[in-house]
Amino acid sequence: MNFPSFDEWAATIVPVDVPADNVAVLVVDMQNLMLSDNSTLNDAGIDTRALRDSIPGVEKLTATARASGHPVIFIRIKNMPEEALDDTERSRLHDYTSTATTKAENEYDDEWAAAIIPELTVAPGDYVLDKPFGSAFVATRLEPLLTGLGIKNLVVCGTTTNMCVENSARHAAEHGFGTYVVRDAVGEFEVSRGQHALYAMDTSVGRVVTTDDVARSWPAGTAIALDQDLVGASA
Amino acid sequence: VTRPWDGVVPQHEVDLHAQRGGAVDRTPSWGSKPAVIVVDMTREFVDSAYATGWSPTGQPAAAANVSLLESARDAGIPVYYTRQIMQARAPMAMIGPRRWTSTRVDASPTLPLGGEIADAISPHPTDVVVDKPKPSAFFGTPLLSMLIAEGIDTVIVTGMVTSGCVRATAIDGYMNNFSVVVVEEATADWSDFQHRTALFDLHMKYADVVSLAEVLVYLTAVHGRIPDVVST
Repeated sequence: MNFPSFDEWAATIVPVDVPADNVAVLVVDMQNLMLSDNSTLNDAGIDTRALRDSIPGVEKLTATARASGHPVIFIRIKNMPEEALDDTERSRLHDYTSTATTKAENEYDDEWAAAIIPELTVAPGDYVLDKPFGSAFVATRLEPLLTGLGIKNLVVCGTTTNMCVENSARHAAEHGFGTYVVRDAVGEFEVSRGQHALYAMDTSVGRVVTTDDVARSWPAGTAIALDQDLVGASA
Repeated sequence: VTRPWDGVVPQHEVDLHAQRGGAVDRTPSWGSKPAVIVVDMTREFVDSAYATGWSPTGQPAAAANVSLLESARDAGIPVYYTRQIMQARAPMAMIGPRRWTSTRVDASPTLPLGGEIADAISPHPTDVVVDKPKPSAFFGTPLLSMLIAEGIDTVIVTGMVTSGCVRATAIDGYMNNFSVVVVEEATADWSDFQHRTALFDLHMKYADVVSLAEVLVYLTAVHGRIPDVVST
């Protein structure tokens, strides 16, 4: 097969069906650290306003999921205990988050930085997990949660497209989950980086879809009811 | 030398293991960059005032841990504690076959929070506390990442209960290619029988079960041998 060029890909948005069973929405890093005007990332010279275009899409997507009975899982980047990584400066991701944490300790607090932004709904029955790195699958309880819920397909949204969203989507695909990334519910600091990340993921990871694709694929009230005993309140 | 399984595991079965698995009495295969993992030494396990606790073995194990941790910190050896996540805080912890499902809540208003580390062995500021959803300290937690980042080659496992979370953590440590050391006096179980047989099982398959005295000598030796782990 011939892969489309980036320009061809960007100019062509085709409807994609999203599985309506055994599926969950994963919301990546839609938290104060990433999106608040008061974020320490702004102080570090990273303009978080670029990410805010993702907010309406994420809210729409999670509302669609809840109306259809599909689990919504928020995952938040939250540093490991500082002592654990004191001498470890191995990744640029750590540079970002350690800067934020240091300032957070002084000016805000870690809980504030990790909190889901107030513009988004976190409903009873949603799950909230924390992660220490970019991928939602590394050193977290996400995979046993998905296994326990019988999830086979994951719809990924959040920030940032080229970092934590892409890390999570790639791990989802490689761990055997059908993987869907929602192009109007993701955000990246620099637009072309986000678009090229979507292009790469649509080519080699999963399918890039829209919130309309999801809404069309998940008519309200159609999901097989989960064992209510296994559906928890937010952690 | 008295071993914890003496008189519990029949001698002919000890011999049987020794013929196939190697010597019962041996030099532990510990390395030069150890870390201590203190498993679930929380109030609700250490103290019989809690439904899941057992003071007769928990309190002596806590005292042994105090001694071990003092030496470890003196030697600049990283210390990790685990706490079991309570269902009330993390519903997903209950998902699974539920063979050991804790339904506990911090119900008693007269008792301090059961899920916190027992006061006698409270973590120091430089220690790391890891919350875990399942028996193994490695499962669904950042512990492995932290041990790799620190360059750890040996995990010294203590805590409660020996046949449950200690055993699971020791086996996962082995699976992740660490040398695993389990400290007899610093581990505890509700069941004396299960404590002893779990230590035998671990010693003959996945770990070196050692006495507190042995591990203190080891920590002193590591302290002297590895300048870059000496605390300042």
